[in-house]
Amino acid sequence: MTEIKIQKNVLSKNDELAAELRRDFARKGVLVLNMLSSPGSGKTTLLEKTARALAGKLRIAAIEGDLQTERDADRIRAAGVRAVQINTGRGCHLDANMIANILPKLEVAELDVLFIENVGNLVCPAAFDLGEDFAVLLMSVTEGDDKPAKYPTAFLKADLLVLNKLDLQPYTNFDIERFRGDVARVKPSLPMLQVSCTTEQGLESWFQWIERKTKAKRERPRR
Amino acid sequence: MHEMSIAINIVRTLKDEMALHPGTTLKKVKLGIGEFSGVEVESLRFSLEFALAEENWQGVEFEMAKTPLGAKCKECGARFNADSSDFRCPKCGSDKFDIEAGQSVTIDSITVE
Repeated sequence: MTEIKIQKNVLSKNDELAAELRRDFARKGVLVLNMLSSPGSGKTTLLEKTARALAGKLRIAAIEGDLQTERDADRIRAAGVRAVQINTGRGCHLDANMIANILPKLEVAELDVLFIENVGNLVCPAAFDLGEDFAVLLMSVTEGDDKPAKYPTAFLKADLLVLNKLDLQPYTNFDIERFRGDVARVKPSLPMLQVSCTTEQGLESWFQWIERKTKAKRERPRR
Repeated sequence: MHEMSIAINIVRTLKDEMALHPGTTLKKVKLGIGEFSGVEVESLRFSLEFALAEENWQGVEFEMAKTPLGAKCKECGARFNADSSDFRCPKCGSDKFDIEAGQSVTIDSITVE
């Protein structure tokens, strides 16, 4: 019997491919955002609003990940944005290979921003690098303020936190200060935006964040 | 439930590795399960059974150990294991750090005969 040391990351194949995608996105100067959230937190609605607000300013496309149906892609297309759908079947996450396979359907070099709407799930998508510049975690007040403590993985991966459905907060027991404290325990440096897609409160700061990051990416590609 | 894709990736990696050691049989595999990999150990064991059967591999023992979240402070360079209740550098208190381990599943070693 011989023990052989290996020290190999099981997802190294995914990570290598993601690194390749990241280099390609940098060459083309497109900002790529990996959108993480639970089902029903308002990802698609946020994208619709974003697409309408930034139309004419930025060239946007979206990759929609879902277990089934083209519904999300249809909604995004109706907002005037080029969208492709990946149906994962029973799969709970997108991986770099799925992104690489669908990219030929999008003219990436002609884009400023590419949104990847991951499968609604706070656990599995956090494990898979897709070559994005930033992971944006969308949460809504109706999900409860205990999520940072229960799903630290997603919060740890996130580069920006967007708290949605702020207009419904008075009807829930969601405590924003407690939430903020729990987020800070997992990732103190994680910035948070508070928005409501219904009343459009706070959305301006989200649009500005995208415009700022797009400009930075165009001028000085990361990596 | 991404344990199945993790299991398939493990078996794939093991196949590549075994190709480097012809004439031997795989007996044991040591896995490091990152505390923040989002992987459920029992569910992974269950998925591995199916992934192994697919390759007609039998009698492989899996040993799984938790890998804590290892971080390196961006301010003072100290390496530390982050506690899931407090993500700060114990040396200088900074909240800026790079994660170096504990977010993935690793194959640490294999034992062949």
